[in-house]
Amino acid sequence: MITFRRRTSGRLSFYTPESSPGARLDTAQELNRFLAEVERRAYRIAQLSLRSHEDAQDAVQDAMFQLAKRYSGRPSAEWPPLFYRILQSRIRDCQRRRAVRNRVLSFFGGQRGEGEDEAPDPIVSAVDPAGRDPSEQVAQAEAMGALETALAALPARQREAFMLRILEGLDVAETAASMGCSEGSVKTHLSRAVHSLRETLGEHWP
Amino acid sequence: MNTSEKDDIFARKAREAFLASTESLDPEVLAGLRAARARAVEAVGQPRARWQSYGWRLPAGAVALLFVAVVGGALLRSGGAPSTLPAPFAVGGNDDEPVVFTSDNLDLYADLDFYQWMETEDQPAAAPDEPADDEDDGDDDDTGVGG
Repeated sequence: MITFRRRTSGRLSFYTPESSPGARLDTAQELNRFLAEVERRAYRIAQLSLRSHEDAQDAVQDAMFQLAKRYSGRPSAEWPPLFYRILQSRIRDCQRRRAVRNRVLSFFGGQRGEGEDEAPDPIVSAVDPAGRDPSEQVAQAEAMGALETALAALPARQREAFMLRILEGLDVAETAASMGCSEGSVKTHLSRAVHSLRETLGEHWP
Repeated sequence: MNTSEKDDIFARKAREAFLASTESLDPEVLAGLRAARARAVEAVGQPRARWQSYGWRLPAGAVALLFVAVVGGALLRSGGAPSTLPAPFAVGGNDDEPVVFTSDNLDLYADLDFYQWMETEDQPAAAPDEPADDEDDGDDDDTGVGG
């Protein structure tokens, strides 16, 4: 039988199951299902933000591990915003480290820019497992490439709001929890992001 | 078609393009994600070490303990009291003020009656050596010169 005890951390109150072997197994299986369901999208979101395969993979891996280690006792309904909040935090950490590294390199005369070490885009080179028509696949890849470029030009908070709310499909409350801001701020960032993207990509995209 | 509808269509198309891109990820990427997931799931329910559950409180406590140890050690080494007294109690600061905090002077005040008695006892013994004033004031006219 799973018993629950109340714990409090920061602003959130939550319940965590006592760590009996059966409960641990259930939690592990449920977490495995959740991570399997979100891992591809999470990777692509990290890649869109960081424009680097290695950094995106590191960020997703760290977010998975932190969620399992620290928050697996939370109800599974809380996992999506928690997971994406950790992921966004890791993305921002990576961007900060890059900014510092770029400043240091530019101080010493280096010319390496952001994303210079990124791997070739796997989307363009990969075989489509869905078996779509090659022309359709190319069109989708081109559309996504254009969207990716437009997203990169957005301010960070607008990009986060668009990716979490539209691409990942979180609702407004979950997006706000993931971004650590109010729901009103999410709506504002999202509205500006959509208008800016539409303006950049044009009426006939994709 | 109003702006809101156009925004909805744009959002739907963006999501479709995004989801399509997740379906064609490199096998190496997928293998890395699977490995990361397996490591994360292994970590579920692993008990944290007792010291980890204290979080930031452990280093903060250690710093506080170190501070107390340093300050306490310094106080003990200096004799447990400040080396200088506040101005009203300072010794030798003002010659006009009575000095009462040295052990010699405390003895003096304790035996004050004795010293007063000693003084009165000493005075008669000294009298024969000194000529009395009233004797000097008398007719001490050895010169024979009279008035």
